Amino acid sequence: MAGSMPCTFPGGVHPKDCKEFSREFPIEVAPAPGKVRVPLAQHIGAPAKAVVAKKDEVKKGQVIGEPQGFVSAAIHSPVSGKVVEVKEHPHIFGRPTLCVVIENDGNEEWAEGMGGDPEDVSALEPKEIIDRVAAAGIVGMGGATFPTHVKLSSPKEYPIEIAIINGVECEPFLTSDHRLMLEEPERVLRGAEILRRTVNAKRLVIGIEANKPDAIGKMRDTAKEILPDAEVVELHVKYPQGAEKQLIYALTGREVPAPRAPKFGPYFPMHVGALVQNVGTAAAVYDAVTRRIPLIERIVTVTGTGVESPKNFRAKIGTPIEALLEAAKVRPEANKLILGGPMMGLAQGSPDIPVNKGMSGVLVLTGARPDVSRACIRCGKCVDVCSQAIMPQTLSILAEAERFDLVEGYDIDNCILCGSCSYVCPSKRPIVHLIEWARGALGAIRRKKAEEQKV
Amino acid sequence: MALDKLVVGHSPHIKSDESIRRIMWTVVLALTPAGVFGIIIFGWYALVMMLGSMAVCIATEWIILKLTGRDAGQAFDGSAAITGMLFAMVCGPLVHWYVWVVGSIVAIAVFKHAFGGLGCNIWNPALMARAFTLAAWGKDLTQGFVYPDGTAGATPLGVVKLAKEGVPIDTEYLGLNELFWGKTAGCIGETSAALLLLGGIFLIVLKYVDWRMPLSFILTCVVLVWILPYKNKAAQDIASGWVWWKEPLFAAFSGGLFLGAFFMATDMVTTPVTKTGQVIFGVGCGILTAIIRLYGGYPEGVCYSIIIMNTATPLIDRFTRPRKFGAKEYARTTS
Repeated sequence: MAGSMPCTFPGGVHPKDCKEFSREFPIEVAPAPGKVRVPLAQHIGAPAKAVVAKKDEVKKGQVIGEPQGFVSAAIHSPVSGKVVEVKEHPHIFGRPTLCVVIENDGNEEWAEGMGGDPEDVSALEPKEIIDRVAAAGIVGMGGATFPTHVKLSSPKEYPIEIAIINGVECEPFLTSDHRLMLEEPERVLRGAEILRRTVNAKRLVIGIEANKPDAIGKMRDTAKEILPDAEVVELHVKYPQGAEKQLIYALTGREVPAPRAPKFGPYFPMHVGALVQNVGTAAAVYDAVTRRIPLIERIVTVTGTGVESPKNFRAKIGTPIEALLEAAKVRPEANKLILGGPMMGLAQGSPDIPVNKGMSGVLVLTGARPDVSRACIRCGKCVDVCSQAIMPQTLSILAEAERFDLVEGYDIDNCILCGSCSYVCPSKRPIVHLIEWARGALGAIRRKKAEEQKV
Repeated sequence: MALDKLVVGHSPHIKSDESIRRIMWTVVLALTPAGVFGIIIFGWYALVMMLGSMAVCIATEWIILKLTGRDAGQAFDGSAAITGMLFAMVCGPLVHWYVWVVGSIVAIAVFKHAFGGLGCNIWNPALMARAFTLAAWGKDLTQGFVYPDGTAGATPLGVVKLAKEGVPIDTEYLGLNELFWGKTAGCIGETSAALLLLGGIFLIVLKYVDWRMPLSFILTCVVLVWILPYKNKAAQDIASGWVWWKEPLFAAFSGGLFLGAFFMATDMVTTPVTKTGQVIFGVGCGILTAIIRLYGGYPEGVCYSIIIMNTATPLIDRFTRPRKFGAKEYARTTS
């Protein structure tokens, strides 16, 4: 047996889950966009390089961006039609990014060899599966967008014992994973089995938070039929249960090692014998391996107090979110637009952004006000809730004082930016913001030091 | 479409409804029962002192915030009010008006804002103001005590400290019952252990106070007073041979132990942030209080013990950091 199963993790917070806005609405296909705008950087790692040019005709699923190096991902056309331009456009991260804009001819014509009936892949070599996943440009769809083929190619010295499928969806408001598990459990489970087989893990565990009893039931029933040795585990409701390290802890009691001196390099789930993939990723892997369908669409929850009819859309990558917002009817008083969930999502200054591979939700809020932050009163709540058990309070003060020489010793590298500290702070201090900023500054200092040592 | 004027900012985009204002005024509320009891046994002047001190503290803070160009509205966040209320509660019922007025001004102006204002002070401002007034008007602070019947007299701890052999001790206001409910002499907010306990439990339930802090403080102090040797044979009931000092519950209910343990050692700004640190802080306060009570020049040591431990807070914080997630090594089992 691979350790105990605490079903939760130390620290964390209990924000209202607000899932009731959108969880009852079945997935519906988003209105077909006239034009899609597909960014070439939708993943962690090097952006893809455009391999199409203006006026090229493209088929649905055709590669339009080739990965640059190992930690990168291919980009495919979500529609058939004509390339209008390859140009920089506004992007979710704030900086304009190169995008391929394609005019949709509405024919939905697949590129060759794609979209057929599912083939039997039970005899496929892991190598071949990884190649298919890489060719499909699949990245972590929970939001982190780490290229999936990289995660699947863990070196031999780190054998994977447990494959974990993340159906936690701990971010408030979001229901895309919930609906997926409810409506397409078979796709998720078959994809999960492919993942498990690829890394040769003994166990396959699907973790779901207890606030989705219907999804837990559905997944259990389906697993009983098609995948009897998969374990569907009910986890306590607490944010950030869906964070990779916290999920591994809840299911195995193992802690992914914290970055430590002297290199402060990251450690990964493979270091404790685990592989974690989001349920959406598992479903995408199923399509990629059995039908050779690349990642060109995903489920996006459009929700929040700022929309009249919240929805769960199946939307093509590159769909302008304005189209989704229009269908969900934005209220006139809405004044905040967040891509992702409210705890870790990115606030946008304009809705001129396309759907990308990691976008699990579009959240529209009303009555948002910029916070007025005050001095730290050392109440210690952030220390209590920190899921990585560091001292956010101290780090935020060190960051304000620009003491970047000290932040390393206070384990700034261990922070996963979950936001629990800022959430509980009675002084409304932008703790995560300060930590992220200090981390940037520390990174610059480290790079400089490394260069000096080289010379 | 709407969404033409969007608010942007860093995540998280939702916040708990906790605020400084709510925390501080809740503490004031938790102090109120003990304060009201002070008015009942010591009269209206106690009310004047408490409200007066709060008003002077808030006014001082308002002026300083105004002069330094900050948001003067912050003076009403409740933190100045707590300082005023606590300062009044650790004064005797007979101190002159100028004592608490000057004390309140000093608490805010010197011991809070000279260090940078809210969150930046090293010591508890109310206790520093008490230490300051004790130095300036010692007689007011050490001698102006009365019993509920109006007769002048020393506090229970003062009675045993000053006891002389052959002089009988008037035990009317020294029983455990009187001490627990507060029918005895003392500072206006410290006499009723029962009501302070009530307020303390209220704060513990609301999670504004962690139970480890008051418990470690009180327990350490009581146990030490109980087991450490004490020489003043006069402080014993001749008839029964019962030594007041050595009675654990007497040590717990007398003096400012409950007020200090529940409301001052738990001040967020001046005490450690980690749970372990808070226990160390509480134990340290308990040791110092017991030593001052048994062997020191003053009958009571809560005030100084907390101030001394406040000084040690940054050090305690430094050495009680939580064990970070991922520090545990994972031993891979070869399969």
